[in-house]
Amino acid sequence: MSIVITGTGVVSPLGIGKDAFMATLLSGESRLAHDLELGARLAKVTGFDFSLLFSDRRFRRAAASTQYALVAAAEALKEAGLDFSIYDGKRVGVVCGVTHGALGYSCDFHKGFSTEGPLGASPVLFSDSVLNAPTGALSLAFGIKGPTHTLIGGPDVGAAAVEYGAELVKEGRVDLCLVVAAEALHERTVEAYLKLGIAICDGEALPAFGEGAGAIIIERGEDGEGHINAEAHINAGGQGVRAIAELASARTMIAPGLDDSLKGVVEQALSGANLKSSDVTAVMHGGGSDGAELNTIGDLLPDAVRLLPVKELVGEAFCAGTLMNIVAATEVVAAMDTAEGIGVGADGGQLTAKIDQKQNILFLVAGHRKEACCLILKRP
Amino acid sequence: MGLDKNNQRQVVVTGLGIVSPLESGEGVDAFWKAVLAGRNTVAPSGIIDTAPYATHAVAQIRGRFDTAIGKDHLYERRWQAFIEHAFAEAVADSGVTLKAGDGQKAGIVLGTVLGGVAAGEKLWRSEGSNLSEGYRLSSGAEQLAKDYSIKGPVLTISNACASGTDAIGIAARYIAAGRADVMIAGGGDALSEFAFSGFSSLGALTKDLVRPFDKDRSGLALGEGAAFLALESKASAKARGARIYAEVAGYSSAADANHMTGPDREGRGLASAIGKALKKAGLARVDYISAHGTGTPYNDQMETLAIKRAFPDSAFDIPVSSIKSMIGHSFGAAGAIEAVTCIKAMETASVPPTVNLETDDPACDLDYVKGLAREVKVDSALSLSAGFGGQNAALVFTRAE
Repeated sequence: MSIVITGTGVVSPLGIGKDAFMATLLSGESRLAHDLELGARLAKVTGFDFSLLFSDRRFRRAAASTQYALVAAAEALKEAGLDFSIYDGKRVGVVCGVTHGALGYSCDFHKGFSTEGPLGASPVLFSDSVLNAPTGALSLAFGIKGPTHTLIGGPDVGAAAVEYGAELVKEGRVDLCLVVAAEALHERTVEAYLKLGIAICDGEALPAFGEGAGAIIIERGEDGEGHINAEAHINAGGQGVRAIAELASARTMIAPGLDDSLKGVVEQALSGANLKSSDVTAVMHGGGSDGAELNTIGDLLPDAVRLLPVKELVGEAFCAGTLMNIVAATEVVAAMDTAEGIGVGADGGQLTAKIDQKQNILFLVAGHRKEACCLILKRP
Repeated sequence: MGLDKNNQRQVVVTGLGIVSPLESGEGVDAFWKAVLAGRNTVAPSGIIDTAPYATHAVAQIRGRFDTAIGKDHLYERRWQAFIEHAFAEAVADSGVTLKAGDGQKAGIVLGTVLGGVAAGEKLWRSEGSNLSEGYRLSSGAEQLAKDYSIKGPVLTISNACASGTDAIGIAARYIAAGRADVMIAGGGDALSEFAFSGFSSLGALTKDLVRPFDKDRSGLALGEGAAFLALESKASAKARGARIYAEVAGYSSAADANHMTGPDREGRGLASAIGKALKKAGLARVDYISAHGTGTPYNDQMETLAIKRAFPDSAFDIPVSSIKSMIGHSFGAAGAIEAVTCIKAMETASVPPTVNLETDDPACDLDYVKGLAREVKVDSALSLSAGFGGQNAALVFTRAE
């Protein structure tokens, strides 16, 4: 059985919606700007008017990270052609990756009760600050009644969410799974990381932080064909059967050293996809871990074209950055059958290498705890 | 050997660990003795300043950890202390050596709602310089993984008040799918002013006692604690001659898609989770249900309806109890503590009572094991959880053959 991606969506400092996102990514234009007060470079989502982007008014007071998740998910669902008004929501799942959640709401809620006492405690701020608030909102907004899970962690949890969503589909617990990760910038996050002395992004004096959301729809494909399960898809209101990319493999692992984790997970993912390293045409990495990801890529995949990680243009967006990377990699896979360039190179310039339909993209990301995740995407 | 009807590996429980407000947080044996005795722990808080609030009742772990943590950090280090102790007890009880052999095959799933939010409160008041590590929800599982040299899957999940139940279910699936041989899974949360103030703002807190399913129930009391189960593949447990408490026979998660903070009034989401978990277990009924039973008006009525939907022929014959009547609602820990309850009920052929249930509610008309524990042969037990965001989860345990 194959697992395929049928829709993607993104809200990012590079643009709202994947067309704007990909256009800026392909141009290699950074959206990071110095914030002198915080002593960091920040990339913020701009032009985000939730009331114009999402018609369901129940979420107009939701935290920014929840609103980013809703808009990215709506784009992904629309691309997959699914109509949740006619679909059996019990056969759909949600897996959300979260790193910090609605920290702004938590801070505001805390400020309310600590300065004004019980009367200053807002029930809305409290309920929207819990870490599964984006997941609950996605379930509520789209009528999703199957398994709903919120995974917590660093950048790697975005990939872990994809892996877990794929497992739910593979085991037949759901027909399709919405996987989302979202983060909103907050000064307390930046301050905390600066206090910890964690410098994010190499080559610059100031660390960089970003925000946004990425979303993908995972469904079952038919064995050997790579087409999605037509019956389930049509039952979901799908008007056309189109898989953007096949998720050929998804693995996470941890070993005593980060290098061991990264190498081990690449080997496991290749084995899971029945591929050799020479079959990998292009590779994208999370863009962190002090070069460990690049070392692994250099050792195991020396001939693969390296795509520009989103992080280099938007800073550390934690698990949301990982989903943005996965969306970008998926779009690159989808573009493989065009005659145009397929992505961007490490120098920010557009690639001219042509990738044929038999080849594959590997996505690699390292986590905080020497954990590594690897996904392999290929044309269906 | 060791495969279920779906050709997946069977998953069994070989170790239990718990820290609860009962008996100052002493382990499983003390917990079980006290819970069967129907001991109430809900009382005015000694850790949160509740003076400005209309309610003061919490189920707090008192005594044992005050010295262990030290008064300077008693507030913000409780969560870590609870999960460390419960985890250690589960590992020791199972006799499993996590570091031995192929280290890639042992993992952790920790469920928590607010984790180290008490540390976060200090950070937000700018009283701490390096508290952000303790505040991160994933730091708890990461520290356990480091302490025990665990190199398999390590997940932190935050599915609101279903987190503990989901953590066990997800961990069991890791084993069933062959991704791990041993998983230590459970949940933990600690009292904090953040949580107290939040539930108070929602009007969810009782002013005195927790009265699940009682006509005069007035709300929940916040509790705290942690519990873990050591899960293994049946083949692995048998190979090392481990004591097997029970099999994790079924698990399911389902969403209401109805409201961000309130449950589906008809209990459809919870009934869906129960139905799928029973189907996986191949059962039509169970011998005992550990209810979510928070003591809030909506939850208890919803849960009663869900049980009736899921067991149309036998709902009135199944003993159902809520230990939250004694230990309050420990949110992320609750599902894991109640999983331990199910397993001990199977082991000892006794089910705990629902205390403080004095006035019958026509809308809550099941057998709630009112007042006193009961001797019942339990070959199968169901643990239920529900939470914010419309989360519902159900776990089925059966006697391992």
